[in-house]
Amino acid sequence: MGGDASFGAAAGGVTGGRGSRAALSDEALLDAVRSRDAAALEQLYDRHSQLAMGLAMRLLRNRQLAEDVVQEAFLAVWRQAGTYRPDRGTVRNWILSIVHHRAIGCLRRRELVSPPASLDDPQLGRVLPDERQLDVPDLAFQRAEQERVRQALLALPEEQRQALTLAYYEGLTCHDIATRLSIPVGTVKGRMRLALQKLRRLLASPAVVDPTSGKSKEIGS
Amino acid sequence: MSGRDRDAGRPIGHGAGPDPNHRSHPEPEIEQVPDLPPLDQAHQPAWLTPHEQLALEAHAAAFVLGALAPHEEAAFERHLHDCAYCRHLVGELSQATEHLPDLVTPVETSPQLKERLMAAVRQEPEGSREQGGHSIFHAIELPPPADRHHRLHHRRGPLFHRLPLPWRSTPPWASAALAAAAIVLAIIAMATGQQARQEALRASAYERALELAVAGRIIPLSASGTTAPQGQVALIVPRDSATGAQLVIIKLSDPPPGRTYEAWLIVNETPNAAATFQGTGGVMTLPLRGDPSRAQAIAVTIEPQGGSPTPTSQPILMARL
Repeated sequence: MGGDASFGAAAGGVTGGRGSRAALSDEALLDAVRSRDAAALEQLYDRHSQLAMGLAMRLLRNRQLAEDVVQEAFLAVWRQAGTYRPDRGTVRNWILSIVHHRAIGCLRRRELVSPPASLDDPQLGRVLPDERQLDVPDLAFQRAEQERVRQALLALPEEQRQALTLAYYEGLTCHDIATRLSIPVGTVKGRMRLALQKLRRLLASPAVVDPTSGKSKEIGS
Repeated sequence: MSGRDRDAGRPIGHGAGPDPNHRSHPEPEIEQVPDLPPLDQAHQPAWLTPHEQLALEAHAAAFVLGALAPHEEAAFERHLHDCAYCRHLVGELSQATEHLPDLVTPVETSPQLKERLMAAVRQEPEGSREQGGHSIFHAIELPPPADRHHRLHHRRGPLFHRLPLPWRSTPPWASAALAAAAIVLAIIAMATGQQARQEALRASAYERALELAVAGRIIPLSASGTTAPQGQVALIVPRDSATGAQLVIIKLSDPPPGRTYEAWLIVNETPNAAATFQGTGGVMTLPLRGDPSRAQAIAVTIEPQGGSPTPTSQPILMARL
């Protein structure tokens, strides 16, 4: 299943155990996954499984279903690492997109409907439960980044934010949202389009700046 | 398209449409969007109207947020395989969702989950891996194995029972490929009567064409000019780079005596000879010389017997790539 030798070749000569992998970027790890390095997949899992699980739980509200979705998603990463396109986003985003998409699919199949989302929902934006495991700078980055995203969402007009959050965090379809809000489906889609375009502009500014190095840092990479 | 005014008979599409970076943006604050252009016609070379752009952008936004109904999502995913314009739209809009998971509270996974995952990884057969460099969305599209089998099972007609489809390792493009196979069926249905079609179904050439369609993207060539031959010609570009592109020729009338059909791949406005062929009363496949991924179009002309190094007549069939 691919050991350190293949990993080293794929990751530009970096070999070794978990310690050396921990220093690698997500992209380097995915390169190693392409070369069938299971330990590299394990490292990616360690980095992103908690957020993946949180996202799946947010949509499904069922631990067993959420774990099934996370397992399927990481299996898809293993099988289809070669389909990742770096020009379309980060590895983290790719993995979480797979999780989100599969959780939505599971939701549709099971016809599970959860309560509407709200930015006041205590499940959104809450302090990480495992913060004691994080370094202080890491925790600061995460909180600052969460706040940046939260502020960007709050900067959207209410009706656009509502369309976006009902879809992304609650897994409702355009038709569900249209019915719930008593507006045409076309209006729902139009609000989603405007929301995403504005959010993209708002979040286009550089990521959180590392106070120790002065460099921007991607959370989770 | 109910309740929507549009130019009657005008092909709607954007497969070879405007450059997304230079398109005329519609009014950004328009909230109510018109109906979506028909995706099944979206590969015709035509420019989108501003309203169609608006509808398509809104549909792509709903897709990015996972808010389309399953049948709409499946149709849009199939469309994405062949439409660079919409892939660009989706890629752009996806950037906005990149940070949305940051607002979700992380949840500890059970140790058993990691064990199950790694055990499953170690049991994966080599052939189950997708090595192609396809869209990021291909990875997203792959449903769970049980569900995938369920869906494909219900989409298969009797014909598909004869296909050697690798169920346990169906690659993520299979659903689109099956749709492409359906196009082959439709072409054959148009090109032949019911009785002839039954004969074609038994023909090994047909089996070969269908297998090719399952394994690749099918691009029908359309009449170009006033003297179109009877029959159909389609280009099939395989997903697997190990096999080359093929032409599928279905019930094509013969060229004039002493002449031959010749296919050309147009690369940077230069036609490159790709294949010569005659008409057929059934279904015929033949390999294509050259790489369609580098070409902007494929065209067919009528040339002297044996073919020409450069075209000597106007194209009678053409498709933009």
